Amino acid sequence: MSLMCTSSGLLFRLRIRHSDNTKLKSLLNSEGSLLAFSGFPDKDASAAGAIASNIWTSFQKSGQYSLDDGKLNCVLVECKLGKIAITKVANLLLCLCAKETVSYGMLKTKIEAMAAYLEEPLSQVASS
Amino acid sequence: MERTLEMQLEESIHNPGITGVLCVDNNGLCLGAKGSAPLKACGSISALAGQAAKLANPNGPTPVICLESEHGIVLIKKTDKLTTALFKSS
Repeated sequence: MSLMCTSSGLLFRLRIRHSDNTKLKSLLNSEGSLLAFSGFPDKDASAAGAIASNIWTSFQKSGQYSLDDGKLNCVLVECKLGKIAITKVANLLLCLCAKETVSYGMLKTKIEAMAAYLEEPLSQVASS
Repeated sequence: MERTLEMQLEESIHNPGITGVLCVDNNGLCLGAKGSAPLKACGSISALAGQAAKLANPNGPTPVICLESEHGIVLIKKTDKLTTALFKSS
């Protein structure tokens, strides 16, 4: 069994790259349910996860209809109090909330690094 | 993760004549900025570096773009995944 098969292992991997500029990192399933998170309280994380999943699904559908391409890589959203990045890892969604001071390039680089870090263990979980 | 880049940018800004420094990724998104570098120029800097690279020898090093104006000089250099712009006062 790999480390990722336990919830503590998953949390360890989510926390390992935590920096002061990141408010929340969460891992969601395709329906928007929270699997693991690192950051602010549970209630906020669940709501943020559901919204992130909804945004991802909407953009993916739009891409499929308008561009005939359902391969969405990354979604970056600017909100009043911060920025959000969403990407796909294995068959799950990874959501990263950061402060408004974090630049888009850095946010995208961070989520790509995080996704690459989680890709292998989560693929093992997804295929088992 | 961004600490090393922040340190490098901080180091660059302390060179004489430098008023701002900007790092941009290949999509034109800002990675980091210090000093008076205009953040709205991120996309233009990345696009300029990309266009200039097409004019240069593909096997040689990427060119350094120098934009001169009355207010100062902008030096732009593209590397593999990063484009850096230095803003100098004239």
